[in-house]
Amino acid sequence: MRSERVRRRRRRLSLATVLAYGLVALVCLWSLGPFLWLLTSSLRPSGELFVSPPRWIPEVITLRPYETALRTFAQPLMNSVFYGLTASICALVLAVPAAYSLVRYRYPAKWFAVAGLIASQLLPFVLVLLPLYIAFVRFGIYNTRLGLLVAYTALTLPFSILILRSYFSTLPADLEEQAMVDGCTRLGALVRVVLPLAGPPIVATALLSTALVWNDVLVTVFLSSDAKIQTASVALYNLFNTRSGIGDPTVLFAAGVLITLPVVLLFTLLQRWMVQSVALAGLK
Amino acid sequence: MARRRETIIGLALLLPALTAILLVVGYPLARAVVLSASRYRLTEGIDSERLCGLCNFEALLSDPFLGTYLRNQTIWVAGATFLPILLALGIALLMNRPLRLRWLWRSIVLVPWMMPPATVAVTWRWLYDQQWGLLNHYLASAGLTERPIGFLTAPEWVWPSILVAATWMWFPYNYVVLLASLQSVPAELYEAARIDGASRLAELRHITLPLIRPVLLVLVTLGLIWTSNDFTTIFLLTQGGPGVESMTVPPLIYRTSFRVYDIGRGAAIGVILMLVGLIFVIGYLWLARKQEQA
Repeated sequence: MRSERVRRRRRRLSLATVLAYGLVALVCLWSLGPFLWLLTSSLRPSGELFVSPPRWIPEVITLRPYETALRTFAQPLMNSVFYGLTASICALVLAVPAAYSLVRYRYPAKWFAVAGLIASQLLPFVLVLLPLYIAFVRFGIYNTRLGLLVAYTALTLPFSILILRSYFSTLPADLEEQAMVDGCTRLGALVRVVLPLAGPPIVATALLSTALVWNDVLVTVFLSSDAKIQTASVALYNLFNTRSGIGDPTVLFAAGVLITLPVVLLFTLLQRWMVQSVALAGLK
Repeated sequence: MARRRETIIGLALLLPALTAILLVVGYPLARAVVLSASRYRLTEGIDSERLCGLCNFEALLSDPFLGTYLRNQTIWVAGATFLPILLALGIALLMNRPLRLRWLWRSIVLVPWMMPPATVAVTWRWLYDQQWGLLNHYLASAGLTERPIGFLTAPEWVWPSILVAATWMWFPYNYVVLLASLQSVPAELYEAARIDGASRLAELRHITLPLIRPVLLVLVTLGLIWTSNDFTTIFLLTQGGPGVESMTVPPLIYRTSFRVYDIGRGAAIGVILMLVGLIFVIGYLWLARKQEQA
Protein backbone atom coordinates (compact mmCIF):
# COMPACT_ATOMS: atom_id res chain seq x y z
CA MET A 1 0.00 0.00 0.00
CA ARG A 2 2.62 2.42 1.09
CA SER A 3 5.14 1.43 -1.59
CA GLU A 4 2.33 1.79 -4.13
CA ARG A 5 1.89 5.43 -3.10
CA VAL A 6 5.60 6.12 -3.27
CA ARG A 7 5.80 4.61 -6.71
CA ARG A 8 2.86 6.60 -7.92
CA ARG A 9 4.39 9.73 -6.56
CA ARG A 10 7.66 9.03 -8.27
CA ARG A 11 5.90 8.47 -11.57
CA ARG A 12 4.01 11.71 -11.21
CA LEU A 13 7.25 13.48 -10.46
CA SER A 14 8.92 12.11 -13.53
CA LEU A 15 5.99 13.20 -15.67
CA ALA A 16 6.39 16.69 -14.26
CA THR A 17 10.09 16.52 -15.02
CA VAL A 18 9.50 15.47 -18.61
CA LEU A 19 7.02 18.29 -19.00
CA ALA A 20 9.51 20.76 -17.49
CA TYR A 21 12.29 19.73 -19.88
CA GLY A 22 9.87 19.87 -22.79
CA LEU A 23 9.03 23.43 -21.83
CA VAL A 24 12.72 24.26 -21.42
CA ALA A 25 13.33 23.00 -24.97
CA LEU A 26 10.50 25.20 -26.27
CA VAL A 27 11.81 28.21 -24.39
CA CYS A 28 15.31 27.68 -25.81
CA LEU A 29 13.93 27.32 -29.33
CA TRP A 30 11.99 30.55 -28.94
CA SER A 31 14.93 32.47 -27.43
CA LEU A 32 17.69 31.20 -29.66
CA GLY A 33 15.88 30.20 -32.87
CA PRO A 34 15.54 33.65 -34.46
CA PHE A 35 19.20 34.48 -33.79
CA LEU A 36 20.38 31.12 -35.12
CA TRP A 37 18.36 31.70 -38.29
CA LEU A 38 20.01 35.10 -38.71
CA LEU A 39 23.42 33.55 -38.10
CA THR A 40 22.99 30.72 -40.57
CA SER A 41 21.46 33.12 -43.12
CA SER A 42 24.60 35.26 -42.87
CA LEU A 43 27.02 32.40 -43.55
CA ARG A 44 25.99 31.52 -47.12
CA PRO A 45 26.06 32.86 -50.65
CA SER A 46 22.91 34.88 -51.29
CA GLY A 47 21.60 32.36 -53.80
CA GLU A 48 21.06 29.92 -50.96
CA LEU A 49 18.70 32.29 -49.16
CA PHE A 50 16.12 32.01 -51.88
CA VAL A 51 15.51 28.29 -52.01
CA SER A 52 12.45 26.30 -51.13
CA PRO A 53 12.42 24.60 -48.69
CA PRO A 54 14.71 26.90 -46.66
CA ARG A 55 17.90 25.26 -45.40
CA TRP A 56 19.02 25.62 -41.80
CA ILE A 57 22.45 24.37 -42.83
CA PRO A 58 23.61 25.86 -46.13
CA GLU A 59 25.33 23.66 -48.71
CA VAL A 60 28.13 26.16 -49.07
CA ILE A 61 29.34 27.91 -45.92
CA THR A 62 31.18 31.15 -46.58
CA LEU A 63 32.46 34.17 -44.69
CA ARG A 64 32.26 36.39 -47.75
CA PRO A 65 29.17 38.30 -46.42
CA TYR A 66 31.24 39.25 -43.37
CA GLU A 67 34.09 40.55 -45.53
CA THR A 68 31.68 42.72 -47.49
CA ALA A 69 29.88 43.83 -44.32
CA LEU A 70 33.14 44.82 -42.63
CA ARG A 71 34.10 46.87 -45.67
CA THR A 72 30.67 48.51 -46.05
CA PHE A 73 30.24 49.09 -42.32
CA ALA A 74 33.80 50.07 -41.41
CA GLN A 75 32.91 53.76 -41.10
CA PRO A 76 29.59 53.32 -39.23
CA LEU A 77 31.19 50.80 -36.85
CA MET A 78 34.02 53.23 -36.12
CA ASN A 79 31.43 55.96 -35.56
CA SER A 80 29.56 53.79 -33.07
CA VAL A 81 32.74 53.01 -31.15
CA PHE A 82 33.71 56.68 -31.18
CA TYR A 83 30.33 57.99 -29.93
CA GLY A 84 30.01 55.18 -27.41
CA LEU A 85 33.42 55.59 -25.80
CA THR A 86 33.68 59.38 -26.01
CA ALA A 87 30.16 60.01 -24.74
CA SER A 88 30.55 57.59 -21.86
CA ILE A 89 33.88 59.16 -20.85
CA CYS A 90 32.42 62.69 -21.04
CA ALA A 91 29.47 61.46 -18.99
CA LEU A 92 31.79 59.85 -16.43
CA VAL A 93 33.85 63.02 -15.92
CA LEU A 94 30.65 64.80 -14.94
CA ALA A 95 28.93 61.85 -13.27
CA VAL A 96 31.59 60.68 -10.79
CA PRO A 97 31.75 63.95 -8.79
CA ALA A 98 27.98 64.43 -9.06
CA ALA A 99 27.18 60.92 -7.82
CA TYR A 100 29.68 61.22 -4.98
CA SER A 101 28.22 64.55 -4.01
CA LEU A 102 24.69 63.13 -3.96
CA VAL A 103 25.77 60.33 -1.62
CA ARG A 104 28.17 62.02 0.80
CA TYR A 105 27.35 65.71 1.02
CA ARG A 106 24.38 67.35 2.66
CA TYR A 107 22.62 70.29 1.14
CA PRO A 108 19.08 71.52 0.64
CA ALA A 109 16.91 70.32 -2.24
CA LYS A 110 19.06 67.25 -2.87
CA TRP A 111 15.88 65.24 -3.14
CA PHE A 112 14.83 67.35 -6.14
CA ALA A 113 18.08 66.63 -7.94
CA VAL A 114 17.61 62.89 -7.50
CA ALA A 115 13.92 63.02 -8.48
CA GLY A 116 14.86 65.09 -11.52
CA LEU A 117 17.45 62.52 -12.56
CA ILE A 118 14.95 59.68 -12.27
CA ALA A 119 12.28 61.69 -14.08
CA SER A 120 14.70 62.43 -16.92
CA GLN A 121 14.92 58.67 -17.47
CA LEU A 122 11.16 58.32 -17.67
CA LEU A 123 10.20 61.27 -19.86
CA PRO A 124 9.96 60.82 -23.62
CA PHE A 125 13.40 61.56 -25.07
CA VAL A 126 11.68 62.16 -28.41
CA LEU A 127 10.33 65.38 -26.97
CA VAL A 128 13.82 66.49 -25.87
CA LEU A 129 15.16 65.90 -29.36
CA LEU A 130 12.76 68.25 -31.16
CA PRO A 131 14.01 71.50 -29.57
CA LEU A 132 17.52 70.07 -29.60
CA TYR A 133 17.18 69.67 -33.36
CA ILE A 134 16.22 73.33 -33.76
CA ALA A 135 19.00 74.51 -31.45
CA PHE A 136 21.54 72.35 -33.27
CA VAL A 137 20.46 73.73 -36.65
CA ARG A 138 20.81 77.27 -35.29
CA PHE A 139 24.26 76.60 -33.76
CA GLY A 140 25.39 74.80 -36.89
CA ILE A 141 26.02 71.47 -35.16
CA TYR A 142 23.08 69.60 -36.68
CA ASN A 143 24.42 66.64 -38.65
CA THR A 144 27.91 66.88 -37.12
CA ARG A 145 29.85 64.46 -34.94
CA LEU A 146 30.03 67.12 -32.23
CA GLY A 147 26.25 67.44 -32.17
CA LEU A 148 25.69 63.71 -31.89
CA LEU A 149 28.33 63.51 -29.18
CA VAL A 150 26.59 66.22 -27.13
CA ALA A 151 23.24 64.44 -27.47
CA TYR A 152 24.71 61.06 -26.56
CA THR A 153 26.40 62.51 -23.50
CA ALA A 154 23.04 63.94 -22.47
CA LEU A 155 21.46 60.54 -22.99
CA THR A 156 23.99 58.67 -20.84
CA LEU A 157 24.72 61.23 -18.12
CA PRO A 158 21.66 60.80 -15.85
CA PHE A 159 21.93 57.03 -16.25
CA SER A 160 25.62 57.09 -15.25
CA ILE A 161 24.96 59.29 -12.22
CA LEU A 162 22.18 57.00 -10.99
CA ILE A 163 24.27 53.82 -11.33
CA LEU A 164 27.32 55.35 -9.66
CA ARG A 165 25.19 56.82 -6.92
CA SER A 166 23.77 53.40 -6.10
CA TYR A 167 27.32 52.04 -6.01
CA PHE A 168 28.81 54.81 -3.86
CA SER A 169 26.00 54.41 -1.34
CA THR A 170 27.14 50.83 -0.72
CA LEU A 171 30.65 51.98 0.26
CA PRO A 172 31.12 52.32 4.01
CA ALA A 173 31.69 55.94 5.02
CA ASP A 174 34.36 54.73 7.53
CA LEU A 175 36.87 54.39 4.73
CA GLU A 176 36.92 58.08 3.97
CA GLU A 177 36.55 59.07 7.60
CA GLN A 178 39.69 57.06 8.34
CA ALA A 179 41.52 58.87 5.57
CA MET A 180 40.24 62.19 6.86
CA VAL A 181 41.47 61.40 10.35
CA ASP A 182 44.83 60.77 8.70
CA GLY A 183 44.76 64.32 7.38
CA CYS A 184 43.04 63.98 4.00
CA THR A 185 40.31 66.40 2.98
CA ARG A 186 37.07 64.84 1.84
CA LEU A 187 38.01 65.52 -1.77
CA GLY A 188 41.40 63.97 -1.15
CA ALA A 189 39.63 60.93 0.27
CA LEU A 190 37.50 60.71 -2.85
CA VAL A 191 40.54 60.76 -5.10
CA ARG A 192 42.85 58.53 -3.00
CA VAL A 193 40.44 56.09 -1.36
CA VAL A 194 37.11 55.91 -3.16
CA LEU A 195 38.20 56.14 -6.80
CA PRO A 196 40.77 53.32 -6.65
CA LEU A 197 38.11 51.12 -5.03
CA ALA A 198 35.46 52.16 -7.51
CA GLY A 199 37.54 51.31 -10.58
CA PRO A 200 35.53 48.25 -11.67
CA PRO A 201 32.10 49.84 -11.18
CA ILE A 202 33.23 52.97 -13.02
CA VAL A 203 34.46 50.91 -15.95
CA ALA A 204 31.21 48.90 -15.85
CA THR A 205 29.18 52.11 -15.91
CA ALA A 206 31.17 53.38 -18.88
CA LEU A 207 30.62 50.13 -20.74
CA LEU A 208 26.90 50.12 -20.02
CA SER A 209 26.69 53.68 -21.34
CA THR A 210 28.63 52.60 -24.41
CA ALA A 211 26.09 49.83 -24.98
CA LEU A 212 23.28 52.37 -24.62
CA VAL A 213 24.82 54.48 -27.39
CA TRP A 214 25.70 51.43 -29.47
CA ASN A 215 22.06 50.27 -29.50
CA ASP A 216 20.56 53.70 -30.02
CA VAL A 217 18.72 54.60 -33.19
CA LEU A 218 16.60 57.52 -32.04
CA VAL A 219 19.26 60.20 -31.51
CA THR A 220 21.08 59.62 -34.78
CA VAL A 221 17.84 59.53 -36.76
CA PHE A 222 16.71 62.86 -35.28
CA LEU A 223 19.98 64.77 -35.32
CA SER A 224 21.78 63.69 -38.48
CA SER A 225 21.17 62.89 -42.11
CA ASP A 226 24.66 62.20 -43.44
CA ALA A 227 25.44 58.48 -43.66
CA LYS A 228 29.16 59.20 -43.06
CA ILE A 229 28.64 60.23 -39.45
CA GLN A 230 25.83 57.81 -38.53
CA THR A 231 26.04 54.85 -36.18
CA ALA A 232 26.17 51.20 -37.25
CA SER A 233 22.63 50.55 -36.01
CA VAL A 234 21.23 53.30 -38.21
CA ALA A 235 23.42 52.31 -41.16
CA LEU A 236 22.04 48.79 -40.87
CA TYR A 237 18.50 50.09 -40.82
CA ASN A 238 19.07 52.37 -43.81
CA LEU A 239 20.59 49.58 -45.82
CA PHE A 240 17.77 47.24 -44.91
CA ASN A 241 15.15 49.71 -46.08
CA THR A 242 16.80 49.94 -49.48
CA ARG A 243 17.35 46.21 -49.62
CA SER A 244 16.49 45.93 -53.29
CA GLY A 245 19.24 48.44 -53.94
CA ILE A 246 22.18 46.43 -52.63
CA GLY A 247 21.07 43.05 -53.88
CA ASP A 248 22.72 40.92 -51.23
CA PRO A 249 20.81 40.54 -47.95
CA THR A 250 23.42 38.14 -46.57
CA VAL A 251 25.59 41.24 -46.03
CA LEU A 252 22.84 42.78 -43.91
CA PHE A 253 22.53 39.63 -41.84
CA ALA A 254 26.30 39.53 -41.39
CA ALA A 255 26.26 43.17 -40.31
CA GLY A 256 23.43 42.38 -37.90
CA VAL A 257 25.54 39.64 -36.32
CA LEU A 258 28.62 41.88 -36.29
CA ILE A 259 26.95 44.65 -34.30
CA THR A 260 25.62 42.05 -31.87
CA LEU A 261 29.02 40.53 -31.06
CA PRO A 262 30.44 43.42 -28.98
CA VAL A 263 27.25 43.49 -26.91
CA VAL A 264 27.52 39.75 -26.25
CA LEU A 265 31.11 40.25 -25.15
CA LEU A 266 30.03 43.08 -22.89
CA PHE A 267 27.29 40.99 -21.32
CA THR A 268 29.71 38.20 -20.60
CA LEU A 269 32.15 40.61 -18.97
CA LEU A 270 29.50 42.44 -17.00
CA GLN A 271 27.10 39.73 -15.97
CA ARG A 272 27.40 40.75 -12.34
CA TRP A 273 26.87 44.40 -13.12
CA MET A 274 23.94 43.83 -15.42
CA VAL A 275 21.97 42.73 -12.41
CA GLN A 276 22.89 45.96 -10.63
CA SER A 277 21.79 48.06 -13.55
CA VAL A 278 18.59 46.07 -13.51
CA ALA A 279 18.20 46.84 -9.83
CA LEU A 280 18.62 50.48 -10.77
CA ALA A 281 15.60 50.14 -12.99
CA GLY A 282 13.72 49.49 -9.77
CA LEU A 283 14.60 53.12 -9.11
CA LYS A 284 15.81 52.67 -5.59
CA MET B 1 31.70 77.18 9.14
CA ALA B 2 33.13 73.79 8.20
CA ARG B 3 29.57 72.68 7.61
CA ARG B 4 28.99 75.51 5.17
CA ARG B 5 32.19 74.73 3.31
CA GLU B 6 31.04 71.12 2.96
CA THR B 7 27.76 72.28 1.43
CA ILE B 8 29.57 74.49 -1.04
CA ILE B 9 31.98 71.74 -2.10
CA GLY B 10 29.09 69.29 -2.43
CA LEU B 11 27.15 71.66 -4.66
CA ALA B 12 30.28 72.46 -6.65
CA LEU B 13 30.77 68.77 -7.41
CA LEU B 14 27.15 68.44 -8.51
CA LEU B 15 27.01 71.65 -10.50
CA PRO B 16 28.77 70.67 -13.76
CA ALA B 17 26.56 67.62 -14.28
CA LEU B 18 23.46 69.52 -13.21
CA THR B 19 24.21 72.36 -15.63
CA ALA B 20 24.79 69.92 -18.48
CA ILE B 21 21.51 68.10 -17.80
CA LEU B 22 19.52 71.31 -17.42
CA LEU B 23 21.01 72.61 -20.66
CA VAL B 24 20.53 69.54 -22.82
CA VAL B 25 17.45 67.94 -21.24
CA GLY B 26 15.69 70.47 -18.98
CA TYR B 27 15.76 73.44 -21.30
CA PRO B 28 14.61 71.48 -24.37
CA LEU B 29 11.64 70.11 -22.41
CA ALA B 30 10.56 73.61 -21.43
CA ARG B 31 11.19 74.80 -24.95
CA ALA B 32 9.06 71.93 -26.29
CA VAL B 33 6.09 73.25 -24.32
CA VAL B 34 6.53 76.64 -26.00
CA LEU B 35 6.87 74.94 -29.39
CA SER B 36 3.63 73.06 -28.84
CA ALA B 37 1.88 76.43 -28.53
CA SER B 38 3.49 77.81 -31.68
CA ARG B 39 2.82 77.66 -35.37
CA TYR B 40 6.17 76.46 -36.67
CA ARG B 41 6.60 74.79 -40.03
CA LEU B 42 10.02 74.03 -41.37
CA THR B 43 8.68 74.62 -44.89
CA GLU B 44 8.23 78.28 -43.91
CA GLY B 45 11.81 78.61 -42.68
CA ILE B 46 13.73 78.06 -39.48
CA ASP B 47 12.63 81.52 -38.18
CA SER B 48 8.93 81.16 -38.92
CA GLU B 49 8.00 80.29 -35.33
CA ARG B 50 5.26 82.32 -33.71
CA LEU B 51 2.95 81.71 -30.75
CA CYS B 52 -0.58 80.60 -31.59
CA GLY B 53 -2.03 79.35 -28.32
CA LEU B 54 -3.81 76.04 -28.68
CA CYS B 55 -3.82 75.92 -32.49
CA ASN B 56 -1.85 72.68 -32.67
CA PHE B 57 -4.04 70.94 -30.14
CA GLU B 58 -7.17 72.08 -31.96
CA ALA B 59 -5.79 70.78 -35.24
CA LEU B 60 -5.05 67.46 -33.57
CA LEU B 61 -8.64 67.11 -32.40
CA SER B 62 -9.87 67.36 -35.96
CA ASP B 63 -7.30 64.89 -37.31
CA PRO B 64 -9.30 62.09 -38.98
CA PHE B 65 -6.71 59.53 -37.82
CA LEU B 66 -6.76 60.59 -34.17
CA GLY B 67 -8.83 57.54 -33.23
CA THR B 68 -6.42 55.22 -35.07
CA TYR B 69 -3.40 56.70 -33.28
CA LEU B 70 -5.05 56.35 -29.89
CA ARG B 71 -6.08 52.78 -30.64
CA ASN B 72 -2.55 51.94 -31.81
CA GLN B 73 -0.89 53.50 -28.79
CA THR B 74 -3.25 51.57 -26.50
CA ILE B 75 -2.63 48.23 -28.25
CA TRP B 76 1.10 48.86 -28.23
CA VAL B 77 1.47 50.02 -24.63
CA ALA B 78 -0.79 47.31 -23.20
CA GLY B 79 0.55 44.50 -25.39
CA ALA B 80 4.23 45.34 -25.22
CA THR B 81 4.02 45.79 -21.44
CA PHE B 82 1.98 42.79 -20.35
CA LEU B 83 2.92 40.09 -22.88
CA PRO B 84 6.67 40.17 -22.10
CA ILE B 85 5.96 40.23 -18.35
CA LEU B 86 3.55 37.28 -18.51
CA LEU B 87 5.95 35.23 -20.61
CA ALA B 88 8.87 36.22 -18.38
CA LEU B 89 6.94 35.15 -15.29
CA GLY B 90 6.24 31.73 -16.79
CA ILE B 91 9.85 31.25 -17.83
CA ALA B 92 11.21 32.50 -14.51
CA LEU B 93 9.00 30.01 -12.65
CA LEU B 94 10.29 27.26 -14.95
CA MET B 95 13.93 28.25 -14.55
CA ASN B 96 13.54 28.48 -10.79
CA ARG B 97 12.94 24.71 -10.66
CA PRO B 98 15.83 22.32 -10.14
CA LEU B 99 16.94 21.41 -13.67
CA ARG B 100 20.03 19.80 -15.10
CA LEU B 101 22.35 22.30 -16.86
CA ARG B 102 20.19 25.08 -15.51
CA TRP B 103 22.95 27.69 -15.97
CA LEU B 104 22.96 26.90 -19.70
CA TRP B 105 19.19 27.34 -20.14
CA ARG B 106 19.32 30.47 -18.06
CA SER B 107 21.96 32.02 -20.34
CA ILE B 108 20.22 30.98 -23.56
CA VAL B 109 17.11 32.86 -22.46
CA LEU B 110 19.19 36.06 -22.32
CA VAL B 111 20.12 35.96 -26.03
CA PRO B 112 17.37 38.30 -27.29
CA TRP B 113 18.35 40.86 -24.66
CA MET B 114 21.86 41.10 -26.06
CA MET B 115 20.77 41.93 -29.59
CA PRO B 116 20.69 45.60 -30.61
CA PRO B 117 17.19 46.72 -31.70
CA ALA B 118 18.41 47.19 -35.26
CA THR B 119 19.52 43.54 -35.42
CA VAL B 120 16.25 42.42 -33.84
CA ALA B 121 14.38 44.28 -36.55
CA VAL B 122 16.47 42.75 -39.33
CA THR B 123 15.97 39.29 -37.82
CA TRP B 124 12.19 39.51 -37.49
CA ARG B 125 11.64 41.23 -40.80
CA TRP B 126 13.52 38.35 -42.39
CA LEU B 127 11.52 35.74 -40.45
CA TYR B 128 8.29 37.53 -41.42
CA ASP B 129 9.27 37.98 -45.08
CA GLN B 130 6.28 37.35 -47.29
CA GLN B 131 8.13 35.50 -50.01
CA TRP B 132 11.09 33.77 -48.39
CA GLY B 133 10.37 34.06 -44.68
CA LEU B 134 10.82 31.02 -42.49
CA LEU B 135 7.48 31.54 -40.79
CA ASN B 136 5.46 31.53 -43.99
CA HIS B 137 7.30 28.43 -45.11
CA TYR B 138 6.45 26.49 -41.95
CA LEU B 139 2.84 27.66 -41.93
CA ALA B 140 2.41 26.60 -45.55
CA SER B 141 4.07 23.22 -45.10
CA ALA B 142 1.89 22.55 -42.07
CA GLY B 143 -1.06 23.22 -44.35
CA LEU B 144 -2.25 26.12 -42.21
CA THR B 145 -2.13 28.81 -44.89
CA GLU B 146 -2.90 28.75 -48.58
CA ARG B 147 -1.25 32.01 -49.45
CA PRO B 148 1.80 33.56 -47.75
CA ILE B 149 0.93 36.11 -45.10
CA GLY B 150 2.28 39.66 -45.23
CA PHE B 151 2.97 39.73 -41.50
CA LEU B 152 4.14 43.33 -41.43
CA THR B 153 2.18 44.59 -44.45
CA ALA B 154 -1.35 43.22 -43.93
CA PRO B 155 -3.46 45.43 -41.62
CA GLU B 156 -4.95 42.46 -39.77
CA TRP B 157 -1.53 40.90 -39.13
CA VAL B 158 0.69 43.85 -38.37
CA TRP B 159 -0.16 44.23 -34.67
CA PRO B 160 0.13 40.57 -33.67
CA SER B 161 3.44 40.40 -35.58
CA ILE B 162 4.86 43.54 -33.94
CA LEU B 163 3.81 42.34 -30.49
CA VAL B 164 5.40 38.92 -30.96
CA ALA B 165 8.70 40.57 -31.93
CA ALA B 166 8.46 43.04 -29.04
CA THR B 167 7.71 40.23 -26.60
CA TRP B 168 10.74 38.35 -27.86
CA MET B 169 12.91 41.40 -27.43
CA TRP B 170 11.78 42.44 -23.95
CA PHE B 171 10.89 39.30 -22.03
CA PRO B 172 14.52 38.57 -20.97
CA TYR B 173 14.81 41.81 -19.03
CA ASN B 174 11.62 41.09 -17.10
CA TYR B 175 12.74 37.50 -16.69
CA VAL B 176 16.05 38.49 -15.05
CA VAL B 177 14.28 40.73 -12.55
CA LEU B 178 11.55 38.19 -11.81
CA LEU B 179 13.98 35.29 -11.42
CA ALA B 180 16.04 37.30 -8.92
CA SER B 181 12.87 38.09 -7.05
CA LEU B 182 11.72 34.43 -7.06
CA GLN B 183 15.09 33.37 -5.71
CA SER B 184 14.65 35.70 -2.77
CA VAL B 185 11.45 33.94 -1.62
CA PRO B 186 12.52 31.96 1.47
CA ALA B 187 12.46 28.19 0.82
CA GLU B 188 11.00 27.56 4.31
CA LEU B 189 7.71 29.07 3.19
CA TYR B 190 7.32 26.43 0.49
CA GLU B 191 8.35 23.66 2.87
CA ALA B 192 5.77 24.79 5.38
CA ALA B 193 3.11 24.94 2.68
CA ARG B 194 4.00 21.46 1.47
CA ILE B 195 3.68 20.07 5.00
CA ASP B 196 0.23 21.63 5.12
CA GLY B 197 -0.54 19.82 1.86
CA ALA B 198 -0.78 22.84 -0.41
CA SER B 199 -0.87 22.20 -4.17
CA ARG B 200 1.60 23.84 -6.52
CA LEU B 201 -1.10 26.16 -7.76
CA ALA B 202 -1.98 27.17 -4.22
CA GLU B 203 1.71 27.83 -3.54
CA LEU B 204 1.86 30.08 -6.57
CA ARG B 205 -1.27 31.97 -5.62
CA HIS B 206 -0.73 32.32 -1.90
CA ILE B 207 3.04 32.49 -1.52
CA THR B 208 4.88 33.34 -4.74
CA LEU B 209 2.60 35.93 -6.30
CA PRO B 210 1.96 37.98 -3.14
CA LEU B 211 5.71 38.06 -2.41
CA ILE B 212 6.77 39.18 -5.87
CA ARG B 213 3.84 41.56 -6.24
CA PRO B 214 5.89 44.72 -5.54
CA VAL B 215 8.42 43.71 -8.19
CA LEU B 216 5.66 42.93 -10.69
CA LEU B 217 4.15 46.33 -10.03
CA VAL B 218 7.48 48.04 -10.71
CA LEU B 219 7.91 46.08 -13.94
CA VAL B 220 4.39 46.90 -15.13
CA THR B 221 4.81 50.59 -14.41
CA LEU B 222 8.22 50.80 -16.03
CA GLY B 223 6.87 48.81 -18.97
CA LEU B 224 3.97 51.23 -19.41
CA ILE B 225 6.32 54.22 -19.30
CA TRP B 226 9.02 52.75 -21.55
CA THR B 227 6.68 51.38 -24.19
CA SER B 228 4.67 54.57 -24.39
CA ASN B 229 7.94 56.46 -25.05
CA ASP B 230 9.45 53.85 -27.34
CA PHE B 231 10.20 55.11 -30.82
CA THR B 232 12.67 52.57 -32.10
CA THR B 233 10.76 49.29 -32.31
CA ILE B 234 7.88 50.49 -34.48
CA PHE B 235 10.15 52.75 -36.52
CA LEU B 236 12.46 49.85 -37.35
CA LEU B 237 9.78 47.22 -37.96
CA THR B 238 7.07 49.05 -39.92
CA GLN B 239 7.61 52.83 -39.72
CA GLY B 240 3.98 52.89 -38.63
CA GLY B 241 2.69 51.18 -41.74
CA PRO B 242 0.91 49.85 -43.64
CA GLY B 243 -0.60 53.33 -43.98
CA VAL B 244 -0.93 54.42 -40.36
CA GLU B 245 -2.12 51.01 -39.22
CA SER B 246 0.72 50.62 -36.68
CA MET B 247 1.57 54.29 -36.11
CA THR B 248 2.09 54.95 -32.40
CA VAL B 249 2.76 58.32 -30.83
CA PRO B 250 6.60 58.58 -30.83
CA PRO B 251 7.04 57.67 -34.52
CA LEU B 252 4.10 59.98 -35.24
CA ILE B 253 6.02 62.83 -33.62
CA TYR B 254 8.95 62.08 -35.89
CA ARG B 255 6.80 61.92 -39.00
CA THR B 256 4.84 65.06 -38.17
CA SER B 257 8.02 67.02 -37.46
CA PHE B 258 10.39 65.77 -40.14
CA ARG B 259 8.20 64.38 -42.93
CA VAL B 260 5.28 66.79 -42.72
CA TYR B 261 7.68 69.50 -41.39
CA ASP B 262 5.21 70.69 -38.74
CA ILE B 263 7.38 71.01 -35.65
CA GLY B 264 4.73 72.82 -33.60
CA ARG B 265 2.28 70.02 -34.06
CA GLY B 266 4.94 67.37 -33.40
CA ALA B 267 5.76 69.10 -30.12
CA ALA B 268 2.06 69.28 -29.22
CA ILE B 269 1.74 65.51 -29.63
CA GLY B 270 4.90 65.08 -27.56
CA VAL B 271 3.60 67.29 -24.76
CA ILE B 272 0.43 65.20 -24.55
CA LEU B 273 2.58 62.07 -24.41
CA MET B 274 4.64 63.57 -21.60
CA LEU B 275 1.57 64.58 -19.59
CA VAL B 276 0.02 61.12 -19.88
CA GLY B 277 3.39 59.66 -18.90
CA LEU B 278 3.47 61.90 -15.82
CA ILE B 279 0.15 60.39 -14.73
CA PHE B 280 1.76 56.93 -14.92
CA VAL B 281 4.78 58.08 -12.92
CA ILE B 282 2.71 59.76 -10.22
CA GLY B 283 0.30 56.83 -10.06
CA TYR B 284 3.25 54.52 -9.57
CA LEU B 285 4.80 56.62 -6.80
CA TRP B 286 1.44 56.74 -5.05
CA LEU B 287 1.04 52.96 -5.25
CA ALA B 288 4.59 52.41 -4.04
CA ARG B 289 4.00 54.64 -1.03
CA LYS B 290 0.74 52.96 -0.20
CA GLN B 291 2.47 49.60 -0.35
CA GLU B 292 5.20 50.80 1.96
CA GLN B 293 2.67 52.00 4.53
CA ALA B 294 0.63 48.79 4.45
